[in-house]
Amino acid sequence: MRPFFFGDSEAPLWGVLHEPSAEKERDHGVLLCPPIGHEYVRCHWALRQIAAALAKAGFATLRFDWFGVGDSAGDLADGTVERWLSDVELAVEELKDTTGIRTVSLLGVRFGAALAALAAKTVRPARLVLWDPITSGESYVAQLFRIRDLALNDDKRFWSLASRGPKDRPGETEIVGQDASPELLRSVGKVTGERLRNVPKCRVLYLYSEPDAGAQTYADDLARAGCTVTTQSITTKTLWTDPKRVDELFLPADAPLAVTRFFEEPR
Amino acid sequence: MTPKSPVQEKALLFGEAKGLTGVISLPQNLDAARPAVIFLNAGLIHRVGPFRMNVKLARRIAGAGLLCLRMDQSGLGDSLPRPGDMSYEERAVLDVREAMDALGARYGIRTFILIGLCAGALSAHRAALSDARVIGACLLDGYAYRTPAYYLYSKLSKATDPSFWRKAGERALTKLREKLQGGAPSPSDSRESAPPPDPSEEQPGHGAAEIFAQDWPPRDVIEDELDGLLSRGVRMLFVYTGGWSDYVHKDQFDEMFPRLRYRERAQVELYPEADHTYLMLAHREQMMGRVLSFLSGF
Repeated sequence: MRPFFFGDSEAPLWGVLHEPSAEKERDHGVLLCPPIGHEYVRCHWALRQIAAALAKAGFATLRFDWFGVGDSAGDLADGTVERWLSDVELAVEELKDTTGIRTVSLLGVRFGAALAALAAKTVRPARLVLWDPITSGESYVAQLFRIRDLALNDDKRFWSLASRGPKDRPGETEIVGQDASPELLRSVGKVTGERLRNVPKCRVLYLYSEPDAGAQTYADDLARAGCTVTTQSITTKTLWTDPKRVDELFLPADAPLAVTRFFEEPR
Repeated sequence: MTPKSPVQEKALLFGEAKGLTGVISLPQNLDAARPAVIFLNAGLIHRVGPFRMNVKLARRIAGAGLLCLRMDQSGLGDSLPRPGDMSYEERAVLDVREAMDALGARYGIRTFILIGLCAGALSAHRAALSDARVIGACLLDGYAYRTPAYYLYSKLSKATDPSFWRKAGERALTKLREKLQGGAPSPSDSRESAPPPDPSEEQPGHGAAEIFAQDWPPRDVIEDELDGLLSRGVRMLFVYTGGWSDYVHKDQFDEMFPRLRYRERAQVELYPEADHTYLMLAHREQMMGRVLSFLSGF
């Protein structure tokens, strides 16, 4: 496992490369696109396990942090969808350059899955894994504010809600422990189902950890767009919208196995 | 356009087997005579900290002139587990020692300040005890013990909190309803309970559960150790939040540890409105400002 910074030296991105052993190595690498905001921290351990499992199966795997997220440069408030789509292209090039691999697939989680789907138009991945993807940016932004408000009014988290003063209020663009910006929220809000359907034909694994009415609809949309879609439920207890879990990581359960099996299937 | 940060960051693999991962935040003009700051893991969360707190704070501290390392202890985040049968605390002490060795070898730094939240606070305490290179420590929601002030203040604050009475009333009504209806109450949570963890599934911080499940060490033991640290010249900042259930009053620290000989070397702060992981930005800013103020004295 090799950690490093890459990209623009004035705004570098953080990456961790998981390299397979020489005897197992395949000419196929995978880029992991994490969630943003508070979900990024929750998912970190799970993505590490997925990367380790993929590398063990012969796939060089690069985990990276978006600009303004994790260890990468910048603040979340300075992030935009357009900037993050550039991050995907940069990370794919980095994966190819450092390993010599020519075939790359994308795996994205939550908003990272939406970004992976959007980036697919340019990156042309061999395969795409979408884990609990966000299928409406506008709904996602509303959800984040809802979770924020529930968490901030949790009397198990805070000693005394009654004694809060005027200074104990979140900022207008504050979302679950992080500051966003009007520009970022607008940018995320413009991620629509129509844009997300515009995925080039490839094999897609649609993983969902919680029943979601939108999940099957999006999977069907991708199939109509010409993708070969496999839908699979996993037992991972993500509880994305539970306001009591906003700072808790979760174990990956059967996600690494599901992902590895998908990539190991013959082309 | 994002302005160029004055802080440069580097990835660091260190430790005996190069199994530990961290990120160094370098100040523009590094002075090796000044201490470096090492961030420990907050519970199981990796080195970025709850809501990316460690990243922001490390960059600000480096901007103020001190080198920072936010590291993953063995078995957490991106760091490999340490082989053998050591306890979580023993591993933490060794991890910090290797971090100090690495920074000393690379940058010539000889003194260090540790920052830890919750379990990280106890790790910082243990590491400080075991190595004289540690000259300062910030313990965020570290050890706390119930004292007379705790009981008095917590009872008083509940008595004046309308939500306490509302909930007490709701509980009483629920019990009355159950008594009248007869039979066992139905679970309030209709979700299936989570299956027991698969013992073969790799979990972060192998053995970390031992530290989260147990109480803090006995108060008099911690008091003796703290007295030793302060007598050695270690300066410490204790920051408690209202979300940390056992610390509720600003004077509770002196009730917990009345025998400290160099008490003036320990600064204590209570932010009763903040929660344990500083969910609200305003509270986090307040804490970070306090930590920066403490560090400016080094």
